Amino acid sequence: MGALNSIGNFIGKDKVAKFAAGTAGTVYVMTGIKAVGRPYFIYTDKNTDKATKKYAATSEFLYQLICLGVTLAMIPFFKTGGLKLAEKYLKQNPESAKILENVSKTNIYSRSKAFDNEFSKVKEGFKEVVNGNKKGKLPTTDFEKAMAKGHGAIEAGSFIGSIIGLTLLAPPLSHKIVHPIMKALGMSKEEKPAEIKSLNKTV
Amino acid sequence: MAKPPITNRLLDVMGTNANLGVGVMCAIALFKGILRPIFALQDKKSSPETRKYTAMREGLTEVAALPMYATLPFACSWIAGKIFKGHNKLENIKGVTKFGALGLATFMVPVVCNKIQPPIMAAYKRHEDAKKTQLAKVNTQPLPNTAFKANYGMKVGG
Repeated sequence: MGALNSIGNFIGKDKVAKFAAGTAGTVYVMTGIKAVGRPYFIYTDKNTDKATKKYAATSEFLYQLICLGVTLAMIPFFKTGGLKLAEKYLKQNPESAKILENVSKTNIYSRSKAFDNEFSKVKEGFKEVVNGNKKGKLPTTDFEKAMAKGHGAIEAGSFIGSIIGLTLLAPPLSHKIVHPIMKALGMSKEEKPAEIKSLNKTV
Repeated sequence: MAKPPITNRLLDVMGTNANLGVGVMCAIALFKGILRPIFALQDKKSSPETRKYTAMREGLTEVAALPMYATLPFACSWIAGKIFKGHNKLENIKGVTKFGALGLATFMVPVVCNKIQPPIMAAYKRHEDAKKTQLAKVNTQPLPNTAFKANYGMKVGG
């Protein structure tokens, strides 16, 4: 039981849990896993020849790397943009309005992070409540509710930013970038399927 | 009592929900499942057959990914809840387990795809080949000869 408790303490660290609960953190880590995992599976495929595997694995790695870059670059702006959605609610409470004012002094790239740091402090004071079908540590005072809205707006921003970045921007961008990079690395698409080339000659 | 505006409700949900990670991965899979086949079909550099084949494979990948992202984290979190029942950091543990399971699901998507895609794609290829052979047969069949038809029936003045 003691060992289980220690494992629980290790897994349940507040910092880890905070990172795991966030949208942006999840997208960063999952894209990172894809960047490592997908090329690995392509490389271990026994049914494909070495040249094709090398080409496909490199191009998949580059694609996921571009996705990660796009997400890392875009999400902070979407988060700050999201925070604007909640300004109206944050200004209704003097305490949250003051926090918003302080946070607004930081640059656009780190504004959402500064707000989330403030929200983490407020969240520690959330009380265990049962509210309809909701149960758990929830905001109860007006100040806490306003801060939760601010955090929600940041999460909404990263949610939308991730979807736009990964599904709309990264594919056409990678289409433009990956091929020249592959060429520069000495792996052009025409050279990839060696066996197909030879088949074409014989047909 | 009037309902609060939609932004208000949305921000409340986003600010207090613990399943946003799972939600965003499902949303990304859903949008990829719709958009990637469209992008593949619009790729003018590939032949129409390759386009159709790639679009179908892209769609199938997300069809495999979506249920994994949606179920595995909740299943693992439920198991963690049973194992660590009574722990003072239970909510944190469940959240981190969900995150870990999401990572596992992301890593395992290619494995699942490797299992389910080949038979489906092979069936699709067989279907396409059969369609092509049928079309080729129709094209090589001789056109009905009207003179041949004239040999039937009653002949007048012959």
